[in-house]
Amino acid sequence: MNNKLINPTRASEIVRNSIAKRRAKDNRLKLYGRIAIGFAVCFLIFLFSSIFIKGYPGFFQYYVTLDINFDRERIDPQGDLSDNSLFNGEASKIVNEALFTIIDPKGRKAKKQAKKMVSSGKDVRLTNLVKSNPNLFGTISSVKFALDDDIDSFLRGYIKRETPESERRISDQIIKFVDKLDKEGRISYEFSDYILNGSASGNPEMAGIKGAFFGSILTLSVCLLIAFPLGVATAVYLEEVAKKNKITELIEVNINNLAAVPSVVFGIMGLAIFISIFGMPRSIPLVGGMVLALMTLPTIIISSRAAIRAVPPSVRDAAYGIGASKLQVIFHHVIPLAMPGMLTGTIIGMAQALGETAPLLMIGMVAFIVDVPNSVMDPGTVLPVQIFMWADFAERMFIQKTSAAIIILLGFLISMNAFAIYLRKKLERRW
Amino acid sequence: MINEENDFRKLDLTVGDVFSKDARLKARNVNVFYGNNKAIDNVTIDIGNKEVISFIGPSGCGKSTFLRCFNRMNDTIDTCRVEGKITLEDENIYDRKIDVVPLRARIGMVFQKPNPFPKSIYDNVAYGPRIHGLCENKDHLDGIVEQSLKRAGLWEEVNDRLLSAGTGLSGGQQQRLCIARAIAVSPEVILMDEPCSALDPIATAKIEELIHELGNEYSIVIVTHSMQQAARVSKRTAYFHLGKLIEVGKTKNIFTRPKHSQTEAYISGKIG
Amino acid sequence: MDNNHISSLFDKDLNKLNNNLLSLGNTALDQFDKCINNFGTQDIDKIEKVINSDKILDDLDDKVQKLGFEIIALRAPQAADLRRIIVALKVATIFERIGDYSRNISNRTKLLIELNYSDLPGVNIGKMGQKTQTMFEDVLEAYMNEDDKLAVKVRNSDFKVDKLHTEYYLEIISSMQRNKNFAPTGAHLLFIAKNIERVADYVTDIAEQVYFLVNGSVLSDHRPKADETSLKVPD
Repeated sequence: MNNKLINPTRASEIVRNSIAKRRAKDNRLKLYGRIAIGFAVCFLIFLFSSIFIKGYPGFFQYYVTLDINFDRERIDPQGDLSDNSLFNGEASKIVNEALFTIIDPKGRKAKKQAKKMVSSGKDVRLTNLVKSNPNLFGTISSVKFALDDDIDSFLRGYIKRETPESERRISDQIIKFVDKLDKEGRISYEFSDYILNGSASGNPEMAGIKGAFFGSILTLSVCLLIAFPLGVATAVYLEEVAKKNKITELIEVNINNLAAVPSVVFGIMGLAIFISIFGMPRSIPLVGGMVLALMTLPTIIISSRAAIRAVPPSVRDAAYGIGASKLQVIFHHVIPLAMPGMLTGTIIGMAQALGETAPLLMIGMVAFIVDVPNSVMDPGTVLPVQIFMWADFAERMFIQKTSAAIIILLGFLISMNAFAIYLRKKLERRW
Repeated sequence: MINEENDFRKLDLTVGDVFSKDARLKARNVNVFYGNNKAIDNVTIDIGNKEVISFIGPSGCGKSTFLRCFNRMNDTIDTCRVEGKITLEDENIYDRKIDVVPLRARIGMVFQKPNPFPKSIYDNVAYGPRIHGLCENKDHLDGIVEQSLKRAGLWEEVNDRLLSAGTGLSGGQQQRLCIARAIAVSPEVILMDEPCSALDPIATAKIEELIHELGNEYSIVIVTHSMQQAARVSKRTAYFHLGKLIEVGKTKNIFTRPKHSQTEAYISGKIG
Repeated sequence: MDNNHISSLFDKDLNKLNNNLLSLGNTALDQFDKCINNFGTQDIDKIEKVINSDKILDDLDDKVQKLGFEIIALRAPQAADLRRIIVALKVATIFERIGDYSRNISNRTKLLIELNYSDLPGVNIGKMGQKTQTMFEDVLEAYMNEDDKLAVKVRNSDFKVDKLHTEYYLEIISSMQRNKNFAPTGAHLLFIAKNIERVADYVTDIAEQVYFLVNGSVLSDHRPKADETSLKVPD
């Protein structure tokens, strides 16, 4: 047999000659990687900065300060601060009068236009103020009212003074009034109390995300309560209990397929099953949560199974070896050890669900609902749907509000993830 | 003895003292299959009361598989099937009526890789008594834990940090913790599946010494790759080859004058 | 053996081996003492007793051999433990052999009593015997205490016995030349003296083994010898 082995000196020479080439390859690979990451980071920075720059002004809006005469007779004719009494009062009129004393409109037309300058929520604002602080009655105090969205846009410079009046959304008359208010130092740019406390509204200056925010929380809670136990139980059953046969294989394949089904399909399914067959009401967070739970389940199951599979078999052996029953092995050892992994999967699923719009549109959570939902049975909407709706409106001010809502959604998401990481670290660090 | 011999069909393969006068576990004509593969072929052997017996043989000879028959750990493998009879005090452990949970409390097991639970040292030892409800109150449980750790020769080393993680101990200590965990449920038999293969020589020597001491209290079956270990710790030695039990006898005799040529070849390092 | 093994069983076996070996040594010493004394007193009963007691030595030697064999097979001893066992096996054989010589001396003493030759020249036998006894006692002590200095001393004192033996040999040869009737008795005396000299040689071997046990190396340098009986023809 002839010797196919190369002699050591020759071999080391060959290796030495090839090393430069190999190094170059290594370095090229590293470079590509860095370029890719660089791109990703750039996009991320661009995305975040553009959202932030656009959304930041959305948290602020223009207010006008008016001196209000808190005349109890006129605001609260029955004198008992009841909703009925306040509704019958003349809150709106009092605000208008306060405004007129400053800008002094001449004629019916000017008065009519002047009335629209202050947001239509002025009466609610005034009645809420006296409700929370009845001591105001009998005094004359200055109160801030939101300006109408068109004036807001004008003050921000989106509506130009140079534009001919016929093409402008606000008239010359109103511009004159605004100038007057400004001259008196009555107009201020402040942190908006509507964006966080307000709900869906056709008046952009009054629109806020409170309703959608609570809707999201309720929907996600339902989703979590359904999907997590169900997903974990399914994963435990498939991994620990079920015998490996054709049926379990089929189930496995289907679960994996389910993860790839477009989310809107789940919406249709929710519409068909929960609403059409079971006759549940539309637009409620319960149905929304159930639909999202269906959508999240495959993600949770798949990641939970991976987490269970990662539990070292030696731990199971040890527990079985000492005489633990299957249930004890699962509950004492497998689930606690797999919990961090399961939680990670669940949070990923929840984050997906939080950002989901399409399936919720299908079950009517896109309805225009002003009230904040108090239970899972109250109609409501969720953050992404709210964003979707605002993005659709024509008013200029909704652009800022949309971006602001996106920032809030992102903040929600980040805090959820942070909580997940904290939870995981805490569970992992137990030993 | 004559009745015993009628119990099984043939014994032409095994050489030596298969039976024990004071037997705790009796295996009769045991066959084990993995799917269609026969892993254990007609093995008959007694495990004596308070005796240390070791199973030796080349890799894949079935010694671990056979060991796992004694506490039905093979049940956890779907494709595994056991035929024949194994009795623990005249009770067939493969009987339908027998529940594996109490069985495994009576026949403890220590594994190849030290596998303490990712819990505290205390909880590791207390786990068995807790799930089987062996302790009346906290003091009683404390006592069980202390006694078990003492028997496992670990008490001196860990008594000041019972609440720290069991996985933070050294390999040898972890293995002794596993032994303590097995002792805590007061078993009659302890099965050890290559308990020292992941340990350094000093830790190994300590475990071996422990096995020797525990041999006065429990029946111990130890599977080992190391012939020297078998020679050092056990009173009896059984040699397996290709799923068959070739020879059983006093360790002294097996290592100085084996009767079967295959045993001789294996222990003198000519096959395996 | 002040530092114990982790395996208590190993220590137990080693102690057992050691104890058996020491009792073998002491018995061999006792037998030898007795046969030298019996040469002087010529008490036939005691002589018989020595001859019959030789079996004890054989049994003890068997025990040590078996135990050593088992320890090597089961415990794979290393270093000092290995030396101890190898030395024990060798030394046990030597003790047993010394026992054989004691028996042989006793047998010949019995014959001398039967031959009943008056004026037996036995002074040097006594001296050689005493010298050898002292060496034997010392070497046992050296073994027990693992004292290599004492062992070397024992080894180096062998030439004194050799010297006595040579002297005695020449004396008996000349007596036999002078008196033909003395020849049978003289022959036995020569053998007895030779046996004692052999025992002293064995004791030297043991001393060398003790040295090996302690140091792990063989005592190699030349030792003084004075047995010239096999080297030159008497005048």
